[in-house]
Amino acid sequence: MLDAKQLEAEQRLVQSSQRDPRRFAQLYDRYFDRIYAFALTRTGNRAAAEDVTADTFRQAFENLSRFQWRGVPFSAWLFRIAANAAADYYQRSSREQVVPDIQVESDASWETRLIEVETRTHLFDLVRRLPKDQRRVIQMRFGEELSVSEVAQAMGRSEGAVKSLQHRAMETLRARVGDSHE
Amino acid sequence: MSDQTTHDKLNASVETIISGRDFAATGDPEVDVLARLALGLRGLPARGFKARLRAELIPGLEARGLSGLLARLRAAVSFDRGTGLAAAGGGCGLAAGACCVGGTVVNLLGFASAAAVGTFIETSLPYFFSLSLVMMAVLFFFVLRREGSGRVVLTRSAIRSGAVVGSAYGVVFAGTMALSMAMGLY
Repeated sequence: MLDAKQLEAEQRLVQSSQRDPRRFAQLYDRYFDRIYAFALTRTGNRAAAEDVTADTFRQAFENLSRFQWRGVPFSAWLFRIAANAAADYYQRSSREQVVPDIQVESDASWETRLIEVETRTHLFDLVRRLPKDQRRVIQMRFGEELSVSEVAQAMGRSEGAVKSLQHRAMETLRARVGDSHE
Repeated sequence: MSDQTTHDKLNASVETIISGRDFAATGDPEVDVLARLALGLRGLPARGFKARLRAELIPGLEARGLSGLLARLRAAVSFDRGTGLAAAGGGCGLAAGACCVGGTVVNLLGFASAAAVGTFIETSLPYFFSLSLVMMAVLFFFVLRREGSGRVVLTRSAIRSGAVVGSAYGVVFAGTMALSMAMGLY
């Protein structure tokens, strides 16, 4: 939750982005993980999450000049666009029957989804802060969905070493998640 | 239990998670805790996706070479920042003192005598000075137009912009004058 000072800073950033679209990059960097996590939570698969994230930021960028500041965080507007983009994706997918397992209409409450989004966002951020080799393994395993042997080949290590790095990375993440909750 | 076995068990759970299925508890509490955490990593953004999307949305920022450099420079000296206003004010100051700088360079290269350059500066300085004032007026017009309407906002913006632009203008213009004076040209 943003405090009054952060809200004011965000208002200035949004207004300067309306005057100079290049400034939108800062808003994009600030909210990318959260919107992607939201899209992933709503759709349940990577390809759909990427489509919804891309649609969300495209629409936000195109309609930024029409955005009116009403004293609530910019992310509220982005989440509304993302929710609509996810619903559009769901409708398109239903027609084309491409993604049958989409989770738009899951039973999870709004609050549960929000917690899930924040947890994922936090985890993605923690992955970025892992030691280099651990981060590479996690990125390749979960981001690129490579097998252990493919990761071992890419890193020039043995499969055993990759599994060990993967284990250490998960241990590091667990410790950091614990730290941040204390 | 050996480390190797623990690594293998965790890896088996990760494989299950990556393939989109929910992992079944292994019975090893340590592995299961980590596997539950790994569930949150399913769908981690693919490397490069964020950068590719940003490049698609805002091409100028990602462009390489001269165009990228210019785009980043434009962003860095945007009027919304003091640096942009200072650079614009300095530019106007440089325009005002262009005859001083130009005359000094010409004299140093031996193309004109100090007396000839001095005469040139004396006669042309009012024109360059006037030109710089016109540039300043145009600059203020664009700066204030971006601020929209409202007397309070405009006044505050005019004072802030005026202080930054005026300071930079004064420093650069005085510098050019000092240069020609130090060379004995004016």
